[in-house]
Amino acid sequence: MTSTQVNPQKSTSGGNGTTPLIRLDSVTKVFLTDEVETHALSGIHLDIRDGEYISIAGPSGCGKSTLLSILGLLDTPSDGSYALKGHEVANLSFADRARIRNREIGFIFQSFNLIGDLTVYENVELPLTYRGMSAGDRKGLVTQALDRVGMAHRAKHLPSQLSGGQQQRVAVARALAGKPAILLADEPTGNLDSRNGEAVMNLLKELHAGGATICMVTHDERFAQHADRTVHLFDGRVVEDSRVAA
Amino acid sequence: MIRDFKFALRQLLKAPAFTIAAATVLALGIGVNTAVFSLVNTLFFAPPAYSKANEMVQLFSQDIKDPKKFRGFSYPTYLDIRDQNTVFSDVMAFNLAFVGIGQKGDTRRAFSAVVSSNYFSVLGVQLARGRAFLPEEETPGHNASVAIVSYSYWQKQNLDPGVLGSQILVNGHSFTVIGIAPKGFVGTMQILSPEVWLPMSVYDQVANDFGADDKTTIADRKGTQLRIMGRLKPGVTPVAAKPALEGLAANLEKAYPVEQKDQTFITAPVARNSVSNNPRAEGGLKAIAPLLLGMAVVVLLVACLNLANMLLARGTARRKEMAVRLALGASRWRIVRELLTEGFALALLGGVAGLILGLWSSDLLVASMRKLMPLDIVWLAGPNPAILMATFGFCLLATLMFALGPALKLSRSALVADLKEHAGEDVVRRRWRFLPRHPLVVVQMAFSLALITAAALFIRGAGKAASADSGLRPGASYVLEVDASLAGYDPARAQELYRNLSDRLAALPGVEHATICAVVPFGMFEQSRKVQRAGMHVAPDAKPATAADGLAFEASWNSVGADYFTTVGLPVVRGRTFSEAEATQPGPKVAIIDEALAKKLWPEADALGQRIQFAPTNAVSADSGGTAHAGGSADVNESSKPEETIEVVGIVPATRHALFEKTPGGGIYLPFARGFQSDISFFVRFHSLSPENESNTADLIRRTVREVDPSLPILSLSTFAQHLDSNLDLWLVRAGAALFSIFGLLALGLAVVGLYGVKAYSVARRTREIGIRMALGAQAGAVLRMIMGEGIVMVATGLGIGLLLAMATGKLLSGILYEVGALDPVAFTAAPLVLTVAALIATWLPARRATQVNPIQALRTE
Repeated sequence: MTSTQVNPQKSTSGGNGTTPLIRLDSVTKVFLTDEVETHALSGIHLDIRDGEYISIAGPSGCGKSTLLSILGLLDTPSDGSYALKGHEVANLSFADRARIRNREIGFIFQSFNLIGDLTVYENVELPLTYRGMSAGDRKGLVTQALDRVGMAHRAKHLPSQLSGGQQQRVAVARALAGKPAILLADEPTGNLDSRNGEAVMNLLKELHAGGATICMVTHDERFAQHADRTVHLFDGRVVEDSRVAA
Repeated sequence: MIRDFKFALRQLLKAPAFTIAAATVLALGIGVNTAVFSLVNTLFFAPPAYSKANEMVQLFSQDIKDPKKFRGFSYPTYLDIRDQNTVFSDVMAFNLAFVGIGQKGDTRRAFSAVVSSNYFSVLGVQLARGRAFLPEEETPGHNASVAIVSYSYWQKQNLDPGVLGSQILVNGHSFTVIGIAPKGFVGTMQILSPEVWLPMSVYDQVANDFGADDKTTIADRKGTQLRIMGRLKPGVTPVAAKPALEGLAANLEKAYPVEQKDQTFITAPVARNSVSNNPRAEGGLKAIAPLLLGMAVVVLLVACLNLANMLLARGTARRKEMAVRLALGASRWRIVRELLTEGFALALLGGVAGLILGLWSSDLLVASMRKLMPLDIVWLAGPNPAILMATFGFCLLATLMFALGPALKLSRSALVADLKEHAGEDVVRRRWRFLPRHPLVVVQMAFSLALITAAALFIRGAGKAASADSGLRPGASYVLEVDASLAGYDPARAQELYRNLSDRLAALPGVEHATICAVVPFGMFEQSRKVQRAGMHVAPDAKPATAADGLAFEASWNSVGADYFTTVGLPVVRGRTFSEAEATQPGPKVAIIDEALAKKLWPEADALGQRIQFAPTNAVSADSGGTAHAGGSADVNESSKPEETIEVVGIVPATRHALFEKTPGGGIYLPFARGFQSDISFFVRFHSLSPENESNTADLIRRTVREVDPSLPILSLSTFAQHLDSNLDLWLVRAGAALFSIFGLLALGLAVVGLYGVKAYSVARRTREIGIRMALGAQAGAVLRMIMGEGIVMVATGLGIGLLLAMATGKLLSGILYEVGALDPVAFTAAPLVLTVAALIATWLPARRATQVNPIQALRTE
């Protein structure tokens, strides 16, 4: 592994000169609570290219989750621009953000966030239903996604009937099912034991090998190393962007 | 247990908003039940105001050949029974009479009881002040001018000790008050009390048409004026008394073969809400009691379901607390006990509030009755032991209904999972997900729909009753009721007075017509006679099938002035109206009948010019088509003998005479001079009446009456529209509508609040789930549809079940609804519509809030 110190305010993958999948330019996020301004992110520049596997690391409170929320269009930056596939998405309406989120972004959460009274199949199907797809089309995609994570045999089970590792694999399948442009994973191993954590990381690696773009937040150095590139945040700023040698 | 109770109170104090909301819900449910129980208990179960009620029975004179027929007793027969029976320790006789009480020109109508001298002693009642009647004050002809007044009469005089010994004017005659009845004493009925008791010796002086079967005097053995009640000797049961009473009746028949022909004596428990010569008079009223109680319990059930939902929701938040308790070694029973104690403490809070609410609403109901009833309503609806016990019972019942289910559910904790799970998260693991969430809300909806539909049916009935067509078109008329006998007039002088007054009223400025009549349709009393073709002499055992065979028909009776039909807008369709001479002087016997009676008597021919006669009261008659009337009806004592015939000189359209008369059953009108009665009404028809002139016009009429005779009491004065509006039957229908509307509104409010609460709570608990859905791309519309969809499934399921319940309720109520079908389409459309709209609003509000969930915050709750 080699480590390259880059301009902390200008973090790109270097690369091939084509338009990045994601481009953040001078993104800041300020929270106002009780008349106190908290700068969660300050002047973030970040490019993520198609097919990249990037991990965002840093200590608690450094702004990892805020950055992921902005990347996932769950939140909007206070300032700066955010281009997804070359289109500015920073100031879209709630409804437009929801539509893009549904089509272009797949989420994997630390605590799985499966819906308790839906079966495994229905959980994976959920984002597709919001696209207005026909049941037949949905079935193909769901089956494919469950096959991919090795959970097809548990399609009719409820989340409560699965182990933590299995639940996270279902969550990965849900994120994959709609063939999003990027998978955003927020501490995907945080609620798992080391064996299951390792298994999920291997699954992400396989997905990446298959062409998936992945952006993962983690504070576990071991898992950060699974990525091609690691962006280190500290106090809301990118302090290091290192690439792992193949 | 005390520790549990203290802990429960602490828990309730910790959540004051929840406690207040829950206690309010319970207060509504328990309050309704307390009010209804208080009413039903007073009417049907509370001990009567007299002592040892189990020993008291009423004696009835029954026709051996036609056991459905009963009649009253004459005073001589009463004396025979009193002196010759072997089963009663004592027997008393009485009857009720309408009298005018008060000063001249300010007389009001009231009920009196004319009683034998031992009335109070047989009932075992000690007077509050003064003395009871003496035996000599009972003797007919003695005319003892003494009276005993009710406690409430005394209260109206501010409990003035001077009332004893004072003079009270009854029907224009002065009586000395010799006694005051004790507080709460209402005679033999439960809440309807005479205001004054008079001795039997003045019966002929005060008795009036109401309740009198004939015009015999009190001393006449042919009379049937009296009701008899007796106290059975110790150890004698009604069954054991039967042979002795039958023997006594047989002996009296031997001694008086004409007067006592075919009569036997039977006993029955003393009626609690009527004074009748028929032992089955109270059947209908009793049937309403379980219905009222049933409806009230349904309201309590809806309230409890509501509360159960609140507790289940609260329980979700307390799951971790329960898991900790169980982990620390508490038994499941211990947890259930604690939660039940908490529920019971809540129920007691609601019970106290409900008791106050219930008693207050009972008083409101009685106050509204008092406005219309010419009776003294004695209502001691204090928190007596029976009501306190019942309210306590409702609290226990409520606790079991709302607290047991949630307590059992909460105590069945999945320990490890609950200890680990996010506190309060609404994780639903339902096997049958096509069924609606929150089945309790569905049940609430269903019961609410049944109650709202019942209310809608009653409201429809009240609407129909209020707009019922009397068939009369009296235009801008006033109805003035007076009774010359109350001012001491005899019939001859009264006739003269009425003629004079009629002329004076007709001469008033703006008056189009004025006329006299004995009965105002849709009033408190209806009078009827049996009418048959003239010349019929039907054998006693004959069963005539047609009018030509001598079949008699029950017809509404009225005696009217010459201008009556013009004044009330009832055109004579054939023949003529009465002449002034016929109306004011007894002349040839003539009558005007309506088309309904004409068709019954001469189905194939014209009744005009035919002759008719009044049939004996025991004549076989056809069903007149339903003349049930809450105000009661009485046979009229026209002076003509049955065999004297009357010429039909005119035919008028058939009209209804009472609200509950479904179709006109037939009516006969006599000239007033041939059908005199002292209690009469004048129709005074004006060319026009503007609302602002109403009070001036009323004053003008009052002044005119005073100018004719200042002592003549005005019993009532109202426009015809007001007369229709103050009808007692209408009040009953409206009271029913108001009562069921209260039930319905409470149920609607509780169900909608319950639905809102459950949905709002569910949305709050499902914030994370909604956040996940939004993170996955769900737009606001999708979230709104999801929450609304679940609500709609609940509402639709509730409506489906509720419609079935409503249909059953409609069938159950059909017997007491006024001209409304059990499945009335308007009620069955309006009620579900109201519930649906209210429920959708209740669902939409939380659903809208769900769309405003911030996914980041929602996901951060982990």
